[in-house]
Amino acid sequence: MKILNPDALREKPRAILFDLDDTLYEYAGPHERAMAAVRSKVERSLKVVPSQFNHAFRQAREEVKRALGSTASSHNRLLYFQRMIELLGLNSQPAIALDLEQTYWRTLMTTARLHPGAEETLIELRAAGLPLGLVTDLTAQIQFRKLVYFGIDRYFDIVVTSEEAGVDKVGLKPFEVAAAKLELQPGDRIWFIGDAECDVVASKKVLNAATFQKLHPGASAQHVHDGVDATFHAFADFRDWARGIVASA
Amino acid sequence: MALIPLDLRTNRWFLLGLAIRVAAVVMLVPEVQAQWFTPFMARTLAAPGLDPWTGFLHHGGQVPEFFYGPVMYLFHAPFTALGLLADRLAGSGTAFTGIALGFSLLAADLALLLVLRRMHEGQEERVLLFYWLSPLVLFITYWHGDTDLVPTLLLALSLLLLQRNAPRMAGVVLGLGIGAKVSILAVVPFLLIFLWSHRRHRDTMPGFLLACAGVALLLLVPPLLFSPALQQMLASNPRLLVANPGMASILDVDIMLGGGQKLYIMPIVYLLGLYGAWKVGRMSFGLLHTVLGVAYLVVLLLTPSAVGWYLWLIPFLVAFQLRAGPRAAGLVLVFTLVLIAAKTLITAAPAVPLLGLPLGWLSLLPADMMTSLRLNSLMASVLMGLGIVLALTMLRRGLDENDFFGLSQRPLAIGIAGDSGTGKDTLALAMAGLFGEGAVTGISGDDYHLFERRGKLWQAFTHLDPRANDLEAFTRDALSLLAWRPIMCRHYDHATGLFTPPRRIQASDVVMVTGLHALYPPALRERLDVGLYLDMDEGLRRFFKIRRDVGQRGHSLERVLASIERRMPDYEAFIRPQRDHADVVLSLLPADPVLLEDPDHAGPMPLKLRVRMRRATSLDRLARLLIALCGAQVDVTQAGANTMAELVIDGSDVKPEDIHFTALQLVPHLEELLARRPAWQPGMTGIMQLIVLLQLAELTSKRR
Repeated sequence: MKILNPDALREKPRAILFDLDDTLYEYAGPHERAMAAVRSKVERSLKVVPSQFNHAFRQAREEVKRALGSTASSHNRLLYFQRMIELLGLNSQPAIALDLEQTYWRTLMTTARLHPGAEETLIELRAAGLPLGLVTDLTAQIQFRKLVYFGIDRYFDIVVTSEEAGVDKVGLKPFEVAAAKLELQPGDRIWFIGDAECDVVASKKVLNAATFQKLHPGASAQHVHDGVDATFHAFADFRDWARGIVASA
Repeated sequence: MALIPLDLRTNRWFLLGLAIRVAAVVMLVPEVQAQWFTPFMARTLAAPGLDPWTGFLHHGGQVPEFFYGPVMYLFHAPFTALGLLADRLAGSGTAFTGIALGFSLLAADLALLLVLRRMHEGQEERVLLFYWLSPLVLFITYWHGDTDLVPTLLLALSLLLLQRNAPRMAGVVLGLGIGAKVSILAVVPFLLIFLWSHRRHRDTMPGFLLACAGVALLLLVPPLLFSPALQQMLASNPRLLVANPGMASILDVDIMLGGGQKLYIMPIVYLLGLYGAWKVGRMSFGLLHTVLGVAYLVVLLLTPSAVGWYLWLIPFLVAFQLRAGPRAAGLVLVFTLVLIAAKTLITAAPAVPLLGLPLGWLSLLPADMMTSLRLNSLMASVLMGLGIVLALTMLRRGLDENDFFGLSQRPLAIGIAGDSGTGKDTLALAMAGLFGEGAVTGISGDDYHLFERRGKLWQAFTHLDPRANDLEAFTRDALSLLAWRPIMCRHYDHATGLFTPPRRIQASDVVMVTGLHALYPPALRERLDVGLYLDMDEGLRRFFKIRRDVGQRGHSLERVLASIERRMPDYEAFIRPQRDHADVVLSLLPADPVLLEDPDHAGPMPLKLRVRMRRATSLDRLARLLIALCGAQVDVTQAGANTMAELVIDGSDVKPEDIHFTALQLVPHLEELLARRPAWQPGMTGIMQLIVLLQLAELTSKRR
């Protein structure tokens, strides 16, 4: 745990907001495993070699992202796979696209693990009576499934997805929706725990949140985003530090 | 560093273990390496040849005093060749070659850590603690200098591959292990017993054995046949084929029989270990680890001069500590510390050239011979005592945890009752597809009808009436199969309506008892591990029957309805009451009841599955996984004082892989039960497979 801006962190928060992907669980490894499962299925069922798959998928993803901008649907794997199959010259193939999407998420979920100490941190903060919220990009359907799978849905008072906000966190709206749901007043101290730069910028802009960056394994000082108030590698460190603040006042 | 997983690179315990290792490699020069391994590698690499053993003899003028298998030699060659080059450039004797050998061992050490992490996924932190920070690994490899890490790595990798259903590759890797160190051969009989004890693994035995023997022979026969130096070495002392350098004997413990004859204890204990493993019967992977660990431990205790061999224990000690908790970890730690103390007394401390300390600088033994002997004997006795306690604890724990489903005691019995057309046979076939051919046997109630189809008495009875069925024979035969006894049973041929001559049905791991009355006879019911009752919404049942008999077979609607009404009293009297005796009631319901009102509806009928469970401790988790992993819709009603817990599941588009992944998350010890390639079904049948397995796991505690 490294405190960069002690002034922002003295006060007990009125509520704490969390990001989900790559903050509460590690995304990169499970994503690789999930893509490998999809790649292998495409190779088996459509006789598409991995290099062809990688090329078509990359192109499909770029096209979908370009077309949809910063919206939840721009992260939708179903759309990526649909477009990828089209790019491979096989028409839309809804059944195959659905199967690949399910293969992707199923493999990702079963290989993903909550970061050590993440659930205990949520339990402890909740036991301290602090409202907890989750603000995350992507569609509600898959994000809710992840929460249910990890069994952490019970700890959050509110969940905001970019699908319901109409735009990703970078567009600020999800934080406004979260503030409304939590009935926050101007000046309320909010903590936000996330990993991405846009999280830090947007949560500061909308809520003037104290921001905590969950560092990825191996991340060093140059990976710390501008304006972050504290960083940590292990949730246990964050929890131990937060105890002092949460118990005070 | 690129080969080290990201999470390890930032882990402080990993970095601490790595720092200790690197420091030890750079600073310590262990005796066995200085005297034997480093000169052997240095001299043979200086003049490389196909027969390094004879090359060593020619260049050093002495016969090697240990047998480095070809795999061990090739493993260390790249590192030590670099060290040799550095020594040539720096004119530093064999200093860098020795350090390079240390780094070669560090590579094996790291690889073994990664294998153990894969073997115990989800417990990576504790693997790090029990393996990477194990004082035993550090002492044997870096202080004492033994190279047994290489065969231990190959043995652990072979076990991992076996666990991951890659028996041939496991055989190849074990063959490489034997090619590194011949003494690894000792595990082969245990592995064969394990494979034979499991019906699901039995067919993999030839592939495993051939691959292992092929690779081992290919690696060992040429040097043993064509290397004069090896032949000379083995002729003078055959034990060198398996022993480590410096070991006094591999048969240290014996009893004098008089007349100069000795009774060696170790081979007897080894044979007893094999016999014990055979008698255990069906071994889980957990028990296999225990048995191998205990066998090695006992062999080691009976070989007091062994040091490096203790490394072979490590994978099994790690598995034991992971399963058995803090007390076990404490016991292992005490044993380890006493072992290190005992071995430090009798072995030379490594030289520390950077500090100017020579070999054997640390001498803890008193100068007085008698006191020294007494101290050694005391340490050996304490070690033996602790080792026996550890072996017994491992064994007790392993046997307690073995055979989660209790299959060694008697077959698993699944009863499936329900009216005709409710899907009993479909479910029985689906379950058989999970357990695998050869692991399932069973009887069907249809084979016990008293009359053939044209029998006059069917005018008086319906099939549902127990008097129209030989339920006594049905029960007797089911109980025979449950007692591992084969039966002779005729078969009702649905095509002809006649019975076939009786044929022999063998007992097997799982007995499926299906039929209209599978839960009717109390004597049978009480012997079932899981009793299932298949039900169907009455409206749906009528719809399907009318669609088939009127729409496809051309019978009149009145006749079909009359037949349904005729069976109804018997159904209510004899079939439906079985529902109260079932552990699980599975009912198919129409997802859209409006469709039932249209008798001409010919398209697919969307269905939901209602599951009522008598014991449902994992109900919430099941519901969560069905929602999250399978994308199914689930309504949960918890059990009341007099009602069963209920789930209503809409998951017709669930895929077999969804069910497979969910089962892996939900059902413990699943690998002990299922075929190597279980046939998971899509949709409702797959969900039924999952629920039956879950109930088996929950109800199995009453068997053990």
